[in-house]
Amino acid sequence: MSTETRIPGKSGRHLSWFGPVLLALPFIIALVFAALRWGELLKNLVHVAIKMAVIS
Amino acid sequence: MKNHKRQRTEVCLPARMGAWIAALLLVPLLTGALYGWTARRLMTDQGLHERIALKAGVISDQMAQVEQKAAELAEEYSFDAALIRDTLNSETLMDLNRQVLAWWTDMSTTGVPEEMPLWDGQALRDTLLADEAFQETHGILARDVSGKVVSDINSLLSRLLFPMRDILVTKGLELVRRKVALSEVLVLLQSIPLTLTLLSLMMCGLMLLLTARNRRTVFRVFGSGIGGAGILSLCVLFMERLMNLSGMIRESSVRFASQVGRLENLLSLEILAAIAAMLVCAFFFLRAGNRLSAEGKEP
Repeated sequence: MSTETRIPGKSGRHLSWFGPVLLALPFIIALVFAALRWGELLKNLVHVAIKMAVIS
Repeated sequence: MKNHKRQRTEVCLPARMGAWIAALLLVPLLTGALYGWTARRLMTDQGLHERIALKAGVISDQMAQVEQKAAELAEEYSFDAALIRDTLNSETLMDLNRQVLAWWTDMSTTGVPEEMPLWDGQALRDTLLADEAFQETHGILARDVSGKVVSDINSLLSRLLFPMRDILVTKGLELVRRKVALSEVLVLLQSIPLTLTLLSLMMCGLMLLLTARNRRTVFRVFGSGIGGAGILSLCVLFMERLMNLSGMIRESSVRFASQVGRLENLLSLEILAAIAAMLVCAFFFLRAGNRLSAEGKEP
């Protein structure tokens, strides 16, 4: 799971800034998938609960 | 010399893989710990709620509502509205807000449903009955009318102090308590953030054990894990803001929505500060790893 990128012309210098993004990416994908799949349902449930509980 | 030789030691592939898997696990654990502590504060920290509910703007808005209601009642039942203002002032409102917040935090920590504290209108009732003009206007009905005035003020205060149907909360808690041991569930829920924090520390220890022989890998694995948690936390916060909770509440109650919005902003700022700290830590770890690599000190 190497996250290194060698800069052309600058031998010995490495970039590993992609490490955090690569580690977070699977969870972000799962989060986006869940939001697309169940986001609307969750929003509607919260909306109904608020309508029931909050005094207007 | 010996130390220099040790620094140049390469970490074997299984150890490096293990460290990266631990870093991958650190991402959701640290994110969960951050949001878990926030949720725990929301449930148990009365001071956090007081910072919103006892703000001068909120109290003066509540006082304005009380004064408007007092003027309406004074016109309807022919008495001086100042009689209400004398017994129900900003100090009384602040005290009532504190009592309601204590009731709410007690219920959310113990799970035992209790009656919502109400304003004791005895002082107002006595003041009205002691007023000669009020007695003359209403005669034998003075006691009933004073009771009606206190009841109207009390129902307004209930709406202002806790703009939710408290009966739903208490009855809901009673129903849940019949099915599960709610106090044990709440204790378990409150222990989740601490468990996640301890697991995160365990993952950090594991990463250190697996890669301690090579500083560059230590810095990179730590930096990536902590930075990944920062990025994931930022995405979760973005999605929570996308839900627009205060916007949904605004349809029912503008005043309550503005309070929830303030609380949301306060917590978001605290979460953003924690995320910034995580990202800064990650930056320094990764930069240290890159420097070691560029200087050729580590393989």
